[in-house]
Amino acid sequence: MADVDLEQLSPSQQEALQQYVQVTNQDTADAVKILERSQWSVQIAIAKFFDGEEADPVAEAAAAASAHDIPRESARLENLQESLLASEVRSSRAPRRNRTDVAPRIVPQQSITRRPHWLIGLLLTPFGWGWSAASTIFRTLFYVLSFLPAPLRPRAITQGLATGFKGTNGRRMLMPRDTAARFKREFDEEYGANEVPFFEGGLAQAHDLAKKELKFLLVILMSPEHDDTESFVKETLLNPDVVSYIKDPTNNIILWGGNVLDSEAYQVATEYSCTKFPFTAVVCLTPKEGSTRMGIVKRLVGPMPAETYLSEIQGAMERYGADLNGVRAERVAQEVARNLRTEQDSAYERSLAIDRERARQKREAAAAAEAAERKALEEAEAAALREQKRQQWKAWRSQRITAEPPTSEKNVVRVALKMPEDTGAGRITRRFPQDAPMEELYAFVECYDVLSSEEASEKVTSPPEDYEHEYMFRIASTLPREVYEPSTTATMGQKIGRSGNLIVEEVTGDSDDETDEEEDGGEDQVVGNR
Amino acid sequence: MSFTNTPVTRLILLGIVSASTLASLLDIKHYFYILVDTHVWRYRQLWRFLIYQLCYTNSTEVLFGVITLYQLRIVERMWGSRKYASFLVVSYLLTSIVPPSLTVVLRPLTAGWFNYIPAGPTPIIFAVLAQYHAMIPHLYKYRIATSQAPPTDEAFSGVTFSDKSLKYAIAVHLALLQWPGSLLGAIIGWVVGYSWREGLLPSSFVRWRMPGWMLGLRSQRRRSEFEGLRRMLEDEGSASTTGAATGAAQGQSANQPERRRTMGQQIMDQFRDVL
Repeated sequence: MADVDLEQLSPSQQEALQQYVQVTNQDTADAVKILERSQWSVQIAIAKFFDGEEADPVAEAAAAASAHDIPRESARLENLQESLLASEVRSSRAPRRNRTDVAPRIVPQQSITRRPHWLIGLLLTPFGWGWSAASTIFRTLFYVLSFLPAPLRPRAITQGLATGFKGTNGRRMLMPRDTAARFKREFDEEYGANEVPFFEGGLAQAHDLAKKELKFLLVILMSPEHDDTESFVKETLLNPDVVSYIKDPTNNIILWGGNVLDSEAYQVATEYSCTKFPFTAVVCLTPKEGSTRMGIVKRLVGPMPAETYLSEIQGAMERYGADLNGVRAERVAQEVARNLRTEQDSAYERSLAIDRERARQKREAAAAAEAAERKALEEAEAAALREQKRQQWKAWRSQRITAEPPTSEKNVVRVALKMPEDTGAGRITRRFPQDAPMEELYAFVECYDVLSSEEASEKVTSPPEDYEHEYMFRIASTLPREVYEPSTTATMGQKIGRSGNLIVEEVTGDSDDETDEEEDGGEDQVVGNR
Repeated sequence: MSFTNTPVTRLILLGIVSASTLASLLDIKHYFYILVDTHVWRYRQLWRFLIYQLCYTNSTEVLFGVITLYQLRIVERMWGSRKYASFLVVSYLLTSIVPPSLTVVLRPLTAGWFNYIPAGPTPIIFAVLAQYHAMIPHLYKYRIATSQAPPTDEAFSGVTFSDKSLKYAIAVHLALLQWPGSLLGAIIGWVVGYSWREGLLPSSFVRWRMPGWMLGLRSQRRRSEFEGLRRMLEDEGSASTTGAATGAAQGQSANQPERRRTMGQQIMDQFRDVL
């Protein structure tokens, strides 16, 4: 069904449908219906979609158009004849409409002044000279003419060329802030010191400020060459009542003034469709027509008495002040709610952080325990491997211990070894060749249990790889005490002599201090053993 | 915008169009231009000086003249209708005298080249254009580049225009349509406009204003009387509506009948004054 509809639509209708669906994301069939009801105007259809359909904007627009009161939002076609007729009606009757005009936000384009090309500059130089020469001649001529009676005398003689507020020569385009400062300065020069609080900045800033702080923006546009400007300023704007009303901070007024000879103010004049000077517009947020919409709620054009001026402004401000107060209250409520929410959020964040910290500690403890366990396991494995290698080494070494020389041999060392208590071997005597290294004695002691068991173990042909054997005991002689190291170079004959009475001491592989103490204790023991 | 608050411009446009059409219809175009040798020297028709600006004699000039004047209506808005009308009258008088007199002088100097002054208010249009040039700031500028558009402003070749350029172009076209007489008129008009502006004319010319009744202006005193009356009625109306605590839109629509009654009241007042 939707496809059939799409086939029947004209290209412009299809485009409208596409735009509408993009904005509202509505079903195509429904979109076609609502667009048909809105006579294929995308704006009206979207307005209907978001605002509900109880009010009929098409009928309103038609009614407004019939009353020559077309809202600016809709496209406006006009020709000369129509506008001739319309202006007749419009000028006689103040435009009254239910919707206020949108107050546009105006940001002037910054002009970049560049020096012209030097060739062009060279070509233009004679004109510059010509201009200055001509003006000099004219001045002289007019100075000569000053004998004329006052009404015939040109103004240029008496006053000089116009400068300041009324002068237009060399009005360079400045930044909005500087333009505002210049306007204020020229205004003061022209009308004397005053207390009118002009906003110092561009209209765009004033507009934003009024929107943000929910103030009334009073836009005053003046054309200094207009005949009514002087009387308007002197009698209306500088009226003490008006000045004090504008200055009163409780009235929430931002006053922005502009000279239409400046580009920004001229742009403002065109955008605010100002057709008569001096022009005053009251602009404020119009929440009923859009939450962020700034509307022109009052236009005051032409000269008028100060009381009228003031009462018109007051009337407009009273009418829209209620709406603004509503928005203000709403904003305060929102602010409170937001503060509450941020507090809640921060409390939640804090508790979350505490929980996270706890979880982290737990995790770390678990990891540490696991690491310790793993380490213990590794150590146990390493110890088992060591033990295994040690056994292998002992088996290998025991086969390579030099046999005991026969008793007839003279060049022997007779050694009496007192084995540690826990081996249960007691006292052993053995002969070694004199040229056997000290290490041989150590190996004998180490492998004594293997040798004494005399088991027919299988031949171990090689020592275990990556294994450095460490003797867990020391052999020492008593009186005088001397510890023999398991050296492979020193022979037993040199170290011990022909015979020795030696003690095997267990070494518990701890720190040296402990071994020292044990040594001392061992010595006592040796003495006791004697 | 259109013709809102520019009654003088509207009147002049209607006047130019209707006068030109009528001149064409009644076949009296030959009264509206000046040939120096025939009209001035032979027949002494000096009254032609005063009427040569009343209408154009061909439709192209009517079109461009009307377009230019329509676009210059902003000058009337910025000056007020009364000052604008006064300026037009003063410049009409000056441009009625100066260009023909100058042509009379220039004709022997240029061996008869300057002999013809075309009909039409081109000098006045240029006097207004001078005001436009001096008063109205440009809103934006655009450039037509003959080189590739550079990212910076350096080494740019091309022409820079502003939003006002097109209006000048149309006016220049108007000035060149009846070369050289129209160009002379345009230059004189521009000079008159700038002299008026810069105070080079006698101050009584600049200060002079048309009487208010000619433009339908009521005096300030009577207007303020009506204002007071209207305000009193509005106060009553707003008191009754705010008492019911209605919204802004309703208050506005409720004010409408009050205002209508006020206008009726004004008319009644006028009648009473007459009686």
